[in-house]
Amino acid sequence: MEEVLRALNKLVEDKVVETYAIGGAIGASFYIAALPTEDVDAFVFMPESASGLVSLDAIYSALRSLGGVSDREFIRFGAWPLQVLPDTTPLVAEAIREAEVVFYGDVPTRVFSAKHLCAIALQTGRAKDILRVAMFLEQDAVDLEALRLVARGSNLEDKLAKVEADVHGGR
Amino acid sequence: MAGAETKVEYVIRAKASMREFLRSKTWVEKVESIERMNAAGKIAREGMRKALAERGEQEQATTKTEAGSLRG
Repeated sequence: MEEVLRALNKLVEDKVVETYAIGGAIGASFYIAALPTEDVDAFVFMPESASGLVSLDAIYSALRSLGGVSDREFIRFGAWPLQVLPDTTPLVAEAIREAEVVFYGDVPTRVFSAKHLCAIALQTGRAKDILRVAMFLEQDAVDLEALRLVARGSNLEDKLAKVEADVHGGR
Repeated sequence: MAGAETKVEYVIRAKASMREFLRSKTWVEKVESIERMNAAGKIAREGMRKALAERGEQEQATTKTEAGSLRG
């Protein structure tokens, strides 16, 4: 994991990307109990070209030059495939901007805040994402008022209310 | 302690205690735990693949033998 994070930090240092933030199950595992996952999700700001298309070529090429090995849509560093994902929604862009600076061992990195991890999971909406939000609520790992505010801004209030009802109903 | 609580209360307390323990681990410890889960999953998948392949071979051999007996 250190290899992945050091490579991402180098991308920022070399100005290949402005910044990045870890999301997904690895990001969530910073706040709650470990969740099974096969990859690391790193989100970056990705300006659209004039054609409206997005290309991650420069990032993947830089990652390969840092020792990463191409593996389908991933770049593998040791045991961990890294997937670089663009800011597809305003919510993701906000999450990257407001990510928390934390340490993985002695490696500094940025991870989505708990409220943003939950809001993005609600937006993505797969069963495993909803389960993840339930885990945050159950483990009191997110500021509920702050999450409600973010959810309101992204029209996710109903989805959040449903998970809250499920979790609190189960208590 | 255990005598003063119902089975359900005990299960709730035990689960909460385990959840707290899992949550209290460092990020590095949690990621190492995910790595172990992935390694175990890989071994299990490989074992399952081998077992299915062996069973497939056995079934093929049985079918051939049965076909041979029918012909005979």
